[in-house]
Amino acid sequence: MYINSSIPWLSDSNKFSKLVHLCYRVGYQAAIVDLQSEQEYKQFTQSDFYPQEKVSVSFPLSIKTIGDYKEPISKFSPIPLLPRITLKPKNEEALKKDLSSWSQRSCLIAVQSTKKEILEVAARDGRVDLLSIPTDEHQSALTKGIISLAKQNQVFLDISITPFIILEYYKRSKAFRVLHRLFSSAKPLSHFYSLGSSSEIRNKSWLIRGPKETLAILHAILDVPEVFAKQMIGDNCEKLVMRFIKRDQELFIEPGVEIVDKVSKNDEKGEINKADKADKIIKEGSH
Amino acid sequence: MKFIRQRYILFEIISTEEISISEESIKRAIWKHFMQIFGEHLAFRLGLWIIRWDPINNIGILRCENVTKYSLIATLAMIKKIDGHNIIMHTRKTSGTVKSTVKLWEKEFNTPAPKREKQNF
Repeated sequence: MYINSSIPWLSDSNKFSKLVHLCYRVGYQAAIVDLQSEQEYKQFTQSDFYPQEKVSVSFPLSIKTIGDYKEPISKFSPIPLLPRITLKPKNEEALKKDLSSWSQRSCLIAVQSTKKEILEVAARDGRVDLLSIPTDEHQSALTKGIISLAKQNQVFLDISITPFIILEYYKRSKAFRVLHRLFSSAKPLSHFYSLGSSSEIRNKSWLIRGPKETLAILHAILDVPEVFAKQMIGDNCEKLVMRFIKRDQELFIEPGVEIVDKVSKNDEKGEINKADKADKIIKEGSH
Repeated sequence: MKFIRQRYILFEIISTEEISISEESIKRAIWKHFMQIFGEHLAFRLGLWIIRWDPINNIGILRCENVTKYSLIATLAMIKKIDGHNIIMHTRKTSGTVKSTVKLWEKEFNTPAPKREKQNF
């Protein structure tokens, strides 16, 4: 399943609808909406593009579960849309404050900064899902330590392919060079990357590119092996989506313990009915 | 002599406006961007041909060598403007024969593929 890890939110619903349809037309089956502020988060969650009531998902959980998020909004959007907030803190304390307030809500949390200190704190924090590095300026701020921390805590490195399409000649070469250096220090085999469009496509929808084109850019220009390029576009974003579903459905109980399956009362009678519990809680061990 | 394997790329041009683009403009745009990104070193191995082109629906089939398939798709992704119009050159499918690509065309777009014309490239 191809998932766009970042499409911008547009307050004009017609424009946003066009963007979502374009996203579907170029080959994405789901998209994560990049929200820049609390106001945008409110606008998105109260709009027609996000289910207004709690979605009841089908078990056992798999990536196909994302289809349950599509049904309530199928009139307005051909693909399911998930929220993601991008925090741009000024210092480490502001980041911690933001994280404590945003971790209560059901959305993915991304941190974007050019300061190494902030990125280090973000990579260390378990509440952060993504480190957003859309431009070469952000990418060059990543140190080996930050990359290693991000790998340990399974924080995804979110890259954007849009600057390569906007820029030309030596500027594009420079952008490719910076990303090439990042790939040589944080290999796509062992590190978690996600790919999407940046917020620059806000008013320029023709800059959006499909997953096949992205794969071709990674493979032909940046020399990323085809298997890993597919993993970056498909599998990694699926993991992100699963993380969102588990958070939204409140399936975490404590570290290492989460609900992985639910059996309805009508399906199975007997032991489950006697115990008057519908939930099967399976201990998976610590990880 | 070693047999060179070919790949056929089914693509469409997506635009926010209603436009009709000529085959010549597409060739020019592809060559310009390919030379910019990959240079003459890879350009001689490209073996580019526009096999079919439907100017009404803006759908076409490109032929290239097997080894330069991804380079060509990457080039198509980099093209953002043709004849002053903002466009997306979207790759739909790739295939090994013209016959199967034409079948895919008819299945994907529900329109018949135009017959091939003689061309000087």
